[in-house]
Amino acid sequence: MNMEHNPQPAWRRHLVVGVFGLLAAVLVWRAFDLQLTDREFLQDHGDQRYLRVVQTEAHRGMITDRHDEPLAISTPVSSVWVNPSQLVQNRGRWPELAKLVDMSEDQLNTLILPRRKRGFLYLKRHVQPAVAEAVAKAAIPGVHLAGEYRRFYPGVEIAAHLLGFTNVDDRGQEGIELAFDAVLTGTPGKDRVIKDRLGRVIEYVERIQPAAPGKDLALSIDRRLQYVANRELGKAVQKHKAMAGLMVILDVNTGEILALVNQPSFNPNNRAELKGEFFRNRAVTDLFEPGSTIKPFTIAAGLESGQYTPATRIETAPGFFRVGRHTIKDIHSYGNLDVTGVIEKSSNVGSTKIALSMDADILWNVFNNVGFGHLTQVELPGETNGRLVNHKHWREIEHATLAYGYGMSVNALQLVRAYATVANGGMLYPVTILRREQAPQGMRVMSQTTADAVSLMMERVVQTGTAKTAQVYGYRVGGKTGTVHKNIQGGGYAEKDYRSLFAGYLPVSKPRLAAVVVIDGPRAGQHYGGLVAAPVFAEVMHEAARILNLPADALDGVPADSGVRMASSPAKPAPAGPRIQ
Amino acid sequence: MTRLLLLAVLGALVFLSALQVVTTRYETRLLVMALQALKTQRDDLEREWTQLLLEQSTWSTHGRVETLARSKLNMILPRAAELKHIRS
Repeated sequence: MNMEHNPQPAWRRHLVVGVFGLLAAVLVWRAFDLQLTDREFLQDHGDQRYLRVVQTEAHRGMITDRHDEPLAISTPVSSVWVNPSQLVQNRGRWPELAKLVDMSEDQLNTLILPRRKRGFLYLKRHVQPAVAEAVAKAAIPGVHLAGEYRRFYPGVEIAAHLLGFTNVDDRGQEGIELAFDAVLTGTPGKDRVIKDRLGRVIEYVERIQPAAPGKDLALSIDRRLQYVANRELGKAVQKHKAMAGLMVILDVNTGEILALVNQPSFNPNNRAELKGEFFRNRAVTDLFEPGSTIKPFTIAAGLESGQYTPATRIETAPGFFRVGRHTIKDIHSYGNLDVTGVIEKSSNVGSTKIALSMDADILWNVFNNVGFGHLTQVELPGETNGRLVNHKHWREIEHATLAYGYGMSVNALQLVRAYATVANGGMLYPVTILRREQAPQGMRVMSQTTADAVSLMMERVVQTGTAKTAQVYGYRVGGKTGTVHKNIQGGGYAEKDYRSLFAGYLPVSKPRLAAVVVIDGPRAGQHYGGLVAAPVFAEVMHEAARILNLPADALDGVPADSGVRMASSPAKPAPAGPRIQ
Repeated sequence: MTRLLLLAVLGALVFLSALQVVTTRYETRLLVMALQALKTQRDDLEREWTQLLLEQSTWSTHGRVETLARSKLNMILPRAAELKHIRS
């Protein structure tokens, strides 16, 4: 190498190499520093920029009737949410936004401005699909759509009390929705993912929580019977200007509730209409004195005691009877009746005499065994126990009044369960609102002989007694009416405020359906159970028998037009025009 | 010399596997996107299904069917006297 061709001194070269070396060392040191000391912090921030947790929605399970017809369905809807901190930087587009979600600008101001530091705020929930589309199209920064589910009840009011409803977050608030909330609710899934610049998921990192959609629930309800029962009950409540009404239909051989309706009803699809007082499912929550509908069980006790047969004579003249300071009265003096006659005419005097002639425990045992005073344990919220005082604490007057259903209280399910027990020959089946896949374990609570004898007596009530209005063409019907003075708050009974009851079943030769009708506070003049409640039973059962194809068991000897009311078929002649057979 | 050769082969293998990682990653992303699209499609179909189910059960409400049968088709419920029972 020639020194003249290389005029720079050697130290310059060393300096350059040294500086570069130093820089490289600084870089390496910095790299180590970042890797070792600040690693966690930096990794965290890096992840935040592309790692995201995404939720997969899990919809709420469907509620169906026993034939899988939907009664409650969740369907996806959109909700508009905003990021207030981002939105306040775009005041210019607020008028447009206000218009989109149908709010005034003032409303927007009061909603958003106080929350301007926040990152999330629901602006409007469950909007129409058209609104959602418009919002998406407008693409205002800070305004987003979120997928949510909304509950719909296609049957509208027919099973409103039974099903209950959900709140805006799709959680059950009443009825089945509340009782089975845990089953119906799904668990949303959570996945940690990596998203690219455009927000597309490009990699699944881990599954934090798998999505589990809510389970469907099949009720024991038959939507067709539910509809008919609701329609006829509604008509009756209106016609008699009653405060309320309810009807329960039970399958006597399985304990399944086939229909459970309350009137007045409400529309569960319209949240604005929902007001507390209406939601009560009176069939399970409300207690009432069963009145004369209890008499078949008094008679059953008489038969079980061995002191009576259906033909035993009982003197009911002169139509009243003194127990201590109290007088028990009949509407008329029925004179000398047999036991069948006592129930057919619904004689208070007769049943009291029967009850008082036997030991208290015999009567109590029958009442207790058929389930009065015991919860039915149906899977619905708010069931009340009812009251049946133990016979050890009875005074004579209680022993007497229990014979015709005062001094005790029951709910409608207990009453219909007791009637089903008589109808099916003495077996008590647990009551359920869910579809049974197999026959339940029953419990014998009354001898077959007694149950059959009482059943035949109840058939007489419908044939020739107080419940002729409960007849159904083609079928043998058993049942009993009741007309109860309502309790006054603070004690005593209202003179002119009644509860009209009917409980019955059909077909008597091979019972399938038992039902209870309760009309609360009829104010249009009529109040006897036979005039107010029994016709509802007849109308509903006529259609129910047709819908379920029950074999007729009374075609012989029943004139085709006797005591038959055809459900809502107008009495006018068949209209001209096409008719489908 | 053989050691050098071995080193070169291993180096080449490492390089190849690095390339493989890149392609696999790319393919994974494509598949994930496809999965995502299918999930969206599933959700859309489910949405449509529930809406159709809802629509169907709303149209087939008993009240509506009964009203239409009576008013449009002039159908009636046969009265008791018009019923014929067949004994089996």
